[in-house]
Amino acid sequence: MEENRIRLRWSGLRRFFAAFVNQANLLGHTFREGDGRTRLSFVLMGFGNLVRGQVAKGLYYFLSEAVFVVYMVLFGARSLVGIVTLGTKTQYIEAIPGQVPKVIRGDNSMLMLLYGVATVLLVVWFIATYFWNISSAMQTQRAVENGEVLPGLRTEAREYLDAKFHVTLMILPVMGLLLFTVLPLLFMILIAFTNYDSSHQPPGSLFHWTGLYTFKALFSNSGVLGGTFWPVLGWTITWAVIATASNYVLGMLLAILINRKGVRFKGLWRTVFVMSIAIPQFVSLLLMRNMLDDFGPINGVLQHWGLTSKFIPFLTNATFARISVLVVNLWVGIPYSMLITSGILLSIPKELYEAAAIDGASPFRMWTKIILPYVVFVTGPYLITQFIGNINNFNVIYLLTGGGPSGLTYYQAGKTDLLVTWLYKLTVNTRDYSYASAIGICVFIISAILSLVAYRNTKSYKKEETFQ
Amino acid sequence: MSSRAYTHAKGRVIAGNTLAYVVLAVLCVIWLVPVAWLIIISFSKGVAGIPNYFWPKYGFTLQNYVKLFKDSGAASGFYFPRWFLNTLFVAICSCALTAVMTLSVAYAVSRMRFRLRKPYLNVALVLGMFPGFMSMIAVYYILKAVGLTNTLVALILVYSGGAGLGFYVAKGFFDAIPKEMDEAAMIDGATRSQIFWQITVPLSKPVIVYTILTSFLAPWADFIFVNMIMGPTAYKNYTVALGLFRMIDREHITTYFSMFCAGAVLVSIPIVALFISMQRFYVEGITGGSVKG
Amino acid sequence: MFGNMKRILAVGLVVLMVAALVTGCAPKPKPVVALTLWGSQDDQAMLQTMANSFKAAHTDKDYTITLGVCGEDVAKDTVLKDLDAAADVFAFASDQIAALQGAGALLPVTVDTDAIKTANSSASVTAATVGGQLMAYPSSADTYFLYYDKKYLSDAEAGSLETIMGKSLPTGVTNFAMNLSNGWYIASFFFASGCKLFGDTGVDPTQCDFNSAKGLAAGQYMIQLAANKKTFADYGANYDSTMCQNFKDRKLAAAVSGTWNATKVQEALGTDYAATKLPTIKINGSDVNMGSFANFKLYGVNSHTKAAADAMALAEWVTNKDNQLLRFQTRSFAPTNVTIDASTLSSNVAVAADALQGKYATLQASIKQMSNYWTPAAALGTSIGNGKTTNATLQKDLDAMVKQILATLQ
Repeated sequence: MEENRIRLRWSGLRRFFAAFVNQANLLGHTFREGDGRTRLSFVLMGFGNLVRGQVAKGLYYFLSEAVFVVYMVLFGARSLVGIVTLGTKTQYIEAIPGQVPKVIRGDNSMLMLLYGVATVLLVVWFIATYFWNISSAMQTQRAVENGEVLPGLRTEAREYLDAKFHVTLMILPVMGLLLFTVLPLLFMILIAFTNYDSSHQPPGSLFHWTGLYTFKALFSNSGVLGGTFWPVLGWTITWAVIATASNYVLGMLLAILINRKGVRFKGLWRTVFVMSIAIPQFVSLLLMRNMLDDFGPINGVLQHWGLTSKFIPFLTNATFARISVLVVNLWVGIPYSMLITSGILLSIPKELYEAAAIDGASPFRMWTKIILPYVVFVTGPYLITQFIGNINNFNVIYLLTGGGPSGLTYYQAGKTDLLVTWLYKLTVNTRDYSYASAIGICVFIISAILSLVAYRNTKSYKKEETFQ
Repeated sequence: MSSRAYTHAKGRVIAGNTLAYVVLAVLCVIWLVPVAWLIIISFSKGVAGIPNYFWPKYGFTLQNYVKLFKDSGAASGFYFPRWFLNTLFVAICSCALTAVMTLSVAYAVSRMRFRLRKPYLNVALVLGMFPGFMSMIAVYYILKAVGLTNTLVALILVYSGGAGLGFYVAKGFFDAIPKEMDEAAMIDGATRSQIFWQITVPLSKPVIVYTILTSFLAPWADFIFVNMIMGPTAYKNYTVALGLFRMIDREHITTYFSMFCAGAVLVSIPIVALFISMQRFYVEGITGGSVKG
Repeated sequence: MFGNMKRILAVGLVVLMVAALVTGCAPKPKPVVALTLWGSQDDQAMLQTMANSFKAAHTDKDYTITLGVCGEDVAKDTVLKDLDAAADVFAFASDQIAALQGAGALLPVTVDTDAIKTANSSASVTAATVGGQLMAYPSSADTYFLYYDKKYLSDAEAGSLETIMGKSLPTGVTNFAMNLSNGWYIASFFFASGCKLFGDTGVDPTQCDFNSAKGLAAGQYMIQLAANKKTFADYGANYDSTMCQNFKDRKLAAAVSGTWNATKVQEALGTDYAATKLPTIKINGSDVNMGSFANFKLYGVNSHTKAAADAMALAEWVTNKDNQLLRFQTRSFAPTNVTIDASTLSSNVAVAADALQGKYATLQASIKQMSNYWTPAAALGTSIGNGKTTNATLQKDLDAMVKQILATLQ
């Protein structure tokens, strides 16, 4: 499906630096070869374009520089210092009996870090614009020297609907990503390297850079955090493997059942299952939670019929709760995998079946030798996404058990907590942001490694060209 | 084939089908029980807290639905009709925005070749692997910096802000559209923009519907980001998800559980209807990526 | 040029004079002050009344008071998310005071301090004090006590847990319900047997003797209590609502809960409604009263408020004697104000029971370590409840719990 879903190679980094050196070379080159106007663009951005008639472009570069300089003077320079110090002045409240207290505001490490990251991003954008400006100045100079007609605004604008259409298409989404994903994420990643935890809450107290301390505390086997992290990680992996596999296999069986030759009302059956996708999860899962309650209707009915003498602790006993979340997850997940495998089953080439039928294969053999490999082959990437999705399956756990029952030896976690739900509790309940952030990074690393391995495997599988 | 063997085979088919029907029926019941219970409780009288029964003890009533609309206001603190409209508004705006942006990105990375394409694909993949709400607090302060906290616009931005990452399905779909069509159009002098709007988009109905549908559903289900963005005084700007969620916290569940069920039914009806009518496109969309890719 | 200058000067002077005249003659406009006040959903109507009476009593300024819904239990999370966007005055549960103070969110109570300290119970003042400085305004006391159904239990029988549990009741009726899977409630047994959470001072983060011999006795008591599946119930996650439902169905004789359920239980039981302090239990051969955690609802002033003096006045107003009385009348909350007539309070069964239990209550520590207590305590309670912790494993589990309570992250 995707030729380079994962290619986190060091070569990428090397290429990045190579590009940087190239740009530096370009700078020197341009400075040597450029005329006065081009050279002036080094200081006064857009000058080269402006004087040679490309007003709009020139103005854009010039305004970028103006805005950047004003921002840096008024705000940016301070932010860059702030990201290093993370604040020096703590809020002070002067409490004199009989008088209204005076609050002397201090620094807020958290905002300083956030603004600092934003400023760094802005600086990166400015440096890029700066290089574009230089190369653009040189290009226009060359074009004039060669006697070419410079493209006007209209021509350039048309470019953005044709050859450079990707820029038009991507500018808005990329800006959205930068603002709502990249910036917050960089901020959160950096927090893992500070001591922003429950005892360092700005503005009452500041937090500082602490290097790898958070990770050491998290991984240490003796500490409270380590004593929680490893078991929770173990359950997260177990959960993800079982949840993915069970949903996948059972969903496929359901799809086969519905698509069975003699079965009628296929649409109706499918619709019933699809309905559970459409009902918002917080509704269906919260209902399930209450249905599975020790004193909920399921236990009520079981006791009423005399099947059990006392309630079954579906969600209050660690083992039962783990089984319950896995089972309820089937209710949530099977319809999805049923839909997907349905689509795939319908697309299985007829010849495959016919070939098998001629060989006189039994239905079971047909299933294991033909259908399963084919479906696994086409759904490989889907399986990987499902697996990562299950590692991050916040809703099912949080809404169904809230992570409970609590763990006696866990810090702020329960027996069904996944790393993500634990992370959420740490941010919301105790405000241990640094630990939450470190856990988030671990979740990312696990997801990345697993998808890398899985992707490699499907790719090698692909190379066998079994189905081409 | 002798007629006996034929009857035998036919018997096996019928037995198989009967078994299939039985299994399907049982499964359907399992899948429908929670839904049925939701509907029953929403019409039940005298529910105090979580009922430990399926069938109502004190008879049926329409009051839960009536109260949802009649008791809306400052006295109860629940503004269900208003929350419903808020969610509808946010859902429509964010799904339109998300659809445009997702398709744009998908088309660009599928059809065009540019220097930052591969880095972008890699970065998008990496970004998608971080748990989203990890950075919630930062999102809050970014929205605050532009003065958008407590507004519905903020919700629209947050729900569609990640559109640049969700392009994989659409990209798979575009990859499967023959390139020759583009090339032919280009020979006729069409620009990329014209090709996108006049050739690719009309061919991509399933994937467009899929994108719209999934992004339309998000605001109805999210209660975490709304909770972060809407402060305690912005009660009227809640979405149904958060509003309903509030109805069943420890303080309210005893009084409001049956009203919660009524609200949940009202929220689910349009979504289920939409989903069922668009089911075909959803399947095509979701499988389009993996089957054809 | 100078002519121009003169004219400008002249015009300017006239404008200034007119302005002076207008402000001089017209009645001096009242300063406008906008305040925000957060409280729980069920308090909104009551808070509106209090805000109105505040406005009526302070006519020197033009107050606009906006209400917001933010339950005491989540006040910390919402306030600390963004101090500058949080309310000027907010209600919170006293166990959050350490976190709020640590984050610099609270404005110390420096005005009328002594009057507030003398008017309110000393326990509530301790709960509102951090490092010797009063940081919040006490408003009401919360602990848990016993609700019971007079149809099944006499007042005397409700005095002892052994009697309650031993009473034979119609089939299907549970004798006693308590939320064992919640750390707030299980502390009851430990306190009864004489254990101390966080040392003698109650605020020493290195001390906890829940795993001592006394703690073991408390644990054993819980184990034998939880084993009586027919006569004992823990309604778990939906404890409050399930308890009310069972009282309503007359399937429950006695249950541990607090004033927040008073109206619902009263509705459910009607004339058979009764409440008193927690019963005694027999531990180590002697009858001791079950202990409890005391929690207080406090009102805090945001340190980032733009109108500190006004916010402090409002906070003091909503927690003064009259308004505590109003809170008692409308919401059945036990006032912390000690000058309120005891006979007034005894008219409310639940509040009277709450006050009786107050003698046996232990204040929730206002230290950060307190937040470490809940998860392991809930785990122990759950484990005892579902029979996983037995007399054989009890010591090990208690040790694990204490280790977890005293653990530090750094």
